[in-house]
Amino acid sequence: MPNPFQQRASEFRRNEAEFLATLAPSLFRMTLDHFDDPQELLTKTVTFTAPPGSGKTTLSRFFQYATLKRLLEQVQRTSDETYEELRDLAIERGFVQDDRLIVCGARISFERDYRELSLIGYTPQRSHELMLSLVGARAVLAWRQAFIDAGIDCSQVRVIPTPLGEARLEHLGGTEFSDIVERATDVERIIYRLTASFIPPSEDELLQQLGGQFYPLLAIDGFAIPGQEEPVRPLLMIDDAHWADRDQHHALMTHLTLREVTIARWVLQRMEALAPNDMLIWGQSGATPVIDGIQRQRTVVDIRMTQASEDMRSGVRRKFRRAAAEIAARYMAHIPDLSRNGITSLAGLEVRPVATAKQIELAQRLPEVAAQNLGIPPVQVEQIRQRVYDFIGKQTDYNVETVAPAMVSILLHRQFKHTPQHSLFDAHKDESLAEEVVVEAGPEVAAGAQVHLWHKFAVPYLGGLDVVADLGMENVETFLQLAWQLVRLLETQEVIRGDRSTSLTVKQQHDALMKEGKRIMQEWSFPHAVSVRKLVNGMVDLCVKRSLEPNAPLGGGANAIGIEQTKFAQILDHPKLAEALRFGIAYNAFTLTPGRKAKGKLWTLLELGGPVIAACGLTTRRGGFVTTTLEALSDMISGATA
Amino acid sequence: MHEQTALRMLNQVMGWSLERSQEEFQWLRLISAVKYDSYRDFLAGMRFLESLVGWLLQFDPSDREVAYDFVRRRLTFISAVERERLVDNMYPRIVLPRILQDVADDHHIAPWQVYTSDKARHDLEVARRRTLFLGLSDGARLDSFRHANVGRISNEQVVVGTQLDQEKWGDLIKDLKKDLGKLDSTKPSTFDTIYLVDDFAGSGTSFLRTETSDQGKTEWKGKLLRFLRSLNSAGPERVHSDDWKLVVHHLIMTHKAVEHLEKAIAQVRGDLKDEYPWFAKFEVTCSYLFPTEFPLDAKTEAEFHRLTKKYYDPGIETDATKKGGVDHLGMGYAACALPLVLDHNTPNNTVALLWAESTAKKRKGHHMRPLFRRRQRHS
Repeated sequence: MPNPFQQRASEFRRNEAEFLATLAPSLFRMTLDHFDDPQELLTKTVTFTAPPGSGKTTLSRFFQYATLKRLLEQVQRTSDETYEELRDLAIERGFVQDDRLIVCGARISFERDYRELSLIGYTPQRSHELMLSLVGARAVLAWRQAFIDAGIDCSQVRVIPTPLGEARLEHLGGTEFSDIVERATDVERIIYRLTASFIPPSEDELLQQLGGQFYPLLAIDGFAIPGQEEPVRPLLMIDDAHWADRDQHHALMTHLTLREVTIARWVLQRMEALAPNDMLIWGQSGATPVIDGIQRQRTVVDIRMTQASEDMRSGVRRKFRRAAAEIAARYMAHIPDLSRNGITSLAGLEVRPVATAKQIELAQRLPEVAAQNLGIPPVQVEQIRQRVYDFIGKQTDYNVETVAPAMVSILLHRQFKHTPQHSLFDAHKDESLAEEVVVEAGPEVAAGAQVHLWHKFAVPYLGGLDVVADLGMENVETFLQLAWQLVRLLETQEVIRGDRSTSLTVKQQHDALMKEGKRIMQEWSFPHAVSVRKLVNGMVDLCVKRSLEPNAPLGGGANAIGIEQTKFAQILDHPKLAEALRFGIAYNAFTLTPGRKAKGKLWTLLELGGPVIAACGLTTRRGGFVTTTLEALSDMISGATA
Repeated sequence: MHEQTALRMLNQVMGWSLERSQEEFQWLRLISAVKYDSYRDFLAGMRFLESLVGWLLQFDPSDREVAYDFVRRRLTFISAVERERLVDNMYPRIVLPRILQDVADDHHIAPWQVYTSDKARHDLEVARRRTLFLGLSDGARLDSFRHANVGRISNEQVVVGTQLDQEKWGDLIKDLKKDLGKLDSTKPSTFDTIYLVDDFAGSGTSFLRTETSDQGKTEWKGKLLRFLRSLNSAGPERVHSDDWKLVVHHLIMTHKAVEHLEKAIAQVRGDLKDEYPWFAKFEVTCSYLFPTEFPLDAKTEAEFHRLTKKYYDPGIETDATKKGGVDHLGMGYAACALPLVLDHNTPNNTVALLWAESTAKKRKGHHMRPLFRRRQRHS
């Protein structure tokens, strides 16, 4: 098998067994567990929208008929718990009942040749009819392939019509599935030839060849297959729908949401398929609320796979950590040089950095310098120091020699901000009556200390599997890109030392993650990447500045910028900025999180992506943001900032 | 040796950090698989990585980084596939344009117009047939040249060897006459252009050079003269036209070789004008010319140059190598200073550190160990 870390999961796996061997059930659960009623996803049109690498195609491949059939066989054949978990997931989602498949999932890709149909020069209505007929034809052929792959004789399959679809089914070929397949093959051939021709036929000629519209989705309700009493429900998964132009997309969605359509239908697409207002102001206004990243309308369920609501995000993060660990372990098992030597997990990565003697020396001077500059009485300094060491003593993940003094320094600055300032001429200041210490040591102060230490003295802090998962920002591809750098180091380490170590120092990890983050940023080449890069650089400047304030007001610091939600609703008045945001979000440069409550207001956050955080030395903790305006962001793009 | 073992040893020899090892291992695995392991002298169990470890061990630890850097960034390895590519493009890039130009000149038209005129196209066919290709060594790969040009170049126009006997010359002329007859050509059955083809010229001295005999006399030597002697004794039938053209073509050349050959050929024709059947015109061509900055520069690459002197064994010098005019082979034969390896052998114009091997019998200095061992053709 090729290196799974470097290949897109859904593209290279030649067969279902290989594909199943690399799946992590928790990844699907992150998206699907919000639906208690499995029928909701099988009766309505569902759109799954996410940036590349989020697992859309993996999801669609998993729910294909042949894949699930293979899964059930693997469960019988092996005692692999993961297969059992995946089977349980399929049962929960209504695809399997009593060890039988009751949903026939087939996947088609909305390739670029569909788009050709809109460029031929026919009337828009005609070109949409052609597009929908081609979708219908390919859907039928995909189901046929699903049956063949599952070893089912297509000549024995009968089609069950929709309540109002009998007449239409007759027009399509009848109730015998093989007749409809034959018609679908003709339709596909005619339309495909059309897209490949230099001079297309006239509309009349084409209509004559086709014999009318071919809309099987309006006529098919189920398939009766041999050996199974209950009919199977068809599921059509249309992947890569972002390739459709806007009008085509609208026509497609309109067709899929027609009342006559009773099959299950999923549309999977990248975020650039969405109109700017759909992407940027989604869920912030309007009658239909967004809950858990899902907008439920009467006929459409709109799932944004990486746009969890603010209050659900920490739960999603925890789930992703688990998924990431699973995926990494399964992938590492497929790298011979590692698996041969028992190196099949990233769980052994160190989390506690080791500082050099020089770094320790410099860090330990921080409290003294702060106390002196701020004029904090020694008794307060001692109290703060005590609080810090009380906290640190209970932790295992921090380097006490560096983090503790940095925390003391931060708390001294915080204490100073809370202390009323005495006059210079007040000679009778009694230090024994010093103000009460009002600051506390905690994980957010420690996180701030780590960021300070990195920027001041290059003390690393990005280490451990959880950190790598967090930097993935719930995007599998990003996680794999970052994790691969560490896996490579482990591989090299094994070659050099031959000692089967599964551990890397925090410095090794931080350096590798930073380098990879920079490389990812450098290689951004999506539309408006230049503007996105300027935006990101501007945002980073704001975040670093805020994070490095001596009192670390945001704890770990900022890794996002926030705009008042009511003001952000005007984003479409800044078209250049809107386009840059659209593509920046679509390609994981940052994520959009509306609905953050702070300072008595609602904010829309743009949270920097994991590679940016790693490249620029920001915190991985969520929550800290710098407030700004749409105008300031526009200025970043135009280069007008000071 | 297992690849991992070789990499581990390499890491120990070089003392690399983990990160550096990762980068270098990636490159080493790739370059070994794609190029270096194909070196003809390597065998299973002793390929590039193993050879590299042994090679680096001869240097003091403080010098190993310089030596490795040379291999990493300076070494040029021409693989068999690349050489074949140069053979493939010899006809379309070198031979055809010249024939086209000659025919165009005869017709007073532009070269592209040749194809628009039946007469000119016919003359092109005739001119092509009246071209002879002789290989100066196996490395010329005239067998591949023949295969690449089936239908364009006849087997009877291509010979591996330049010292032909009379019978062979006779056969060539006989076949030429027959083919010209088929083309209804009235041109004489003689070759208008003769190509002498070889794989590589670093200094050009193998092809043509002067030597001082034991009697102190300066003599011209080289493959050109051997060819001309053979041509001179080709027999009663005329082989070449009166105004025939010589094209000296190498697949790979250096500027030094080009300059030497252009000068030497012009000079030898003057010196020995009555002794050989001289060409009316000559040209030096190549499929690939190394840039002027390709050879090592002792000043700008002083660190590696220092190694070529420090880790040197005078015992590798021979009478043949002294013909280059420079005794010390540290910077290669004739001080060509090339960082070049060919897949089938390393030319001795290349810096000696890459190819030289000390022998117990002749060693007079440092025990040199090669990275790409050279098969010596001359003692």
